Amino acid sequence: MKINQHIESVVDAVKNSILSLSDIEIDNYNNEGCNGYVFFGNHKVFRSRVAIKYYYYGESAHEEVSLIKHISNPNILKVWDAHTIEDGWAYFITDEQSNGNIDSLLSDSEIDTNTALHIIRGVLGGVGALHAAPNFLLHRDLKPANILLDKSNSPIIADFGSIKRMPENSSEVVASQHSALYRPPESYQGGIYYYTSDIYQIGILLYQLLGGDLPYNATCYMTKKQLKEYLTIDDRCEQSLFEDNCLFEKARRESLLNYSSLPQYIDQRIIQIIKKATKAQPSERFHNIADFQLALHRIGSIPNWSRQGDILLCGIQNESYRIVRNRTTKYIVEKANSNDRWSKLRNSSAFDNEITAIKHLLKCI
Amino acid sequence: MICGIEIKSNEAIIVLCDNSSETLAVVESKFRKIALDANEQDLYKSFYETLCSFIKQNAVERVYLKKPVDKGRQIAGANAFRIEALINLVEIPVVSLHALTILSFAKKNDMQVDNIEKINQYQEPALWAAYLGFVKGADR
Repeated sequence: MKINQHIESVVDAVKNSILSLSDIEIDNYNNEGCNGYVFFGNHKVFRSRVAIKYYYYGESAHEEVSLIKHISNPNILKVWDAHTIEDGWAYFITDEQSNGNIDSLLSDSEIDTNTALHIIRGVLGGVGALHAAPNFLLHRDLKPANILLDKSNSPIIADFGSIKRMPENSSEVVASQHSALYRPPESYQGGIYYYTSDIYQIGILLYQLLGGDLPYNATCYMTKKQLKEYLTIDDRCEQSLFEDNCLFEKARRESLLNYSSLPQYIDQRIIQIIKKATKAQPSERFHNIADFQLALHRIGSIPNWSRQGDILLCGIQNESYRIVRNRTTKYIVEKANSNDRWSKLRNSSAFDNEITAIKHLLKCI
Repeated sequence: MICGIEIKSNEAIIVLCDNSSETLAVVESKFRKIALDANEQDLYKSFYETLCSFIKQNAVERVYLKKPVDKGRQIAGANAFRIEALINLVEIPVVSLHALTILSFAKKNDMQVDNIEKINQYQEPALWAAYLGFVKGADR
């Protein structure tokens, strides 16, 4: 659909507003979000790409915008301007993030280890700023689709529709009902949400960034018996409750994440960090964002693994290695020479499987 | 809140203290030391961001830093000075205290700090830095 058709399809208040924006040339539209309209264009005065989010403000009025306006952090979406328009609609202007969101990154390519850690450190920095004084905010909906990426793949936390301020003298807020897959057990059980619930969601995010499998279809988490029962339910609302229940059971038993789906080269210490972040008991998780960051920092310098088709690449301390299959379908470990040619790593033979080759390489470096 | 930091080898040893009452009190924290092991941009950033996050999380208002020795036989290693630079980049005031100043203060004074049992022995020099800062009143 062309941009003009999109503009024609939105409510009159928004359409009139877009047509009256003299400084912004609208040329794109995003219909992935469910609460409002997002348009993109060139700002003639800023000479940069901007995103304009139109939203209908109900009881909470402009809470989302006013809360994020006061936070200055490189990993939190910056709001440049905001206006109310007619019929209860309003809009705010932010930078357009050119690299999409983490969801699109995950579906388009495999992410190398260093990029995954770089992204998660940025997310922790942003969430740390939300949690800290004087903000005391909980995001409550941290998932790949809500984290945008800038040109250098640095994360920008967006979509503050579920944000909630922690009341004084309290340690919990009401849980959000959004994104069942990312909801921690306490949000199902008691309908409550803690600072450590955001940590739980970041743990899942780290798992996904490192290549962990997390299907978005709830039926993938059902047992055969549950699936059979699920298929007999006609009512969509009942189905949704059943799905939530299955996901809650998985989260409660700490079996939502399938660690065997993570690539073999992922450092065990990182897996331990994910496990700690996603503990079912909130008190067993990292107590705060700084503790999470410290645990990641303590891992220190690790090999940067990435996959290009059948070739597994590994970079560490300015050296490059790769694991490839030779003609006899055995795996061999090679090292890059100074003239960018690959030669077999000394003392290494051909391996029957990739895991053994990875273990050998790790031993050598 | 204030914190005392000692740089030892490639580590910053940290003590978090509550300075809101007449007597300084140690605040129990798992955040006791942070290392800078390798000379890589990502690790510098990670060190800095982790420290900033700790400071924000605990609403720390001032850091008292025991400076690494910069001359003589006990001169500190390169990483210690890298760590010193990174600590000085945080957004709150960082007061650098010479090791000899702290030593001389420690000789003349008894440490009167609440919850002192909550620190490990290796954190004591960092606590002396915080205590000196607290007693001299620079943080109030």
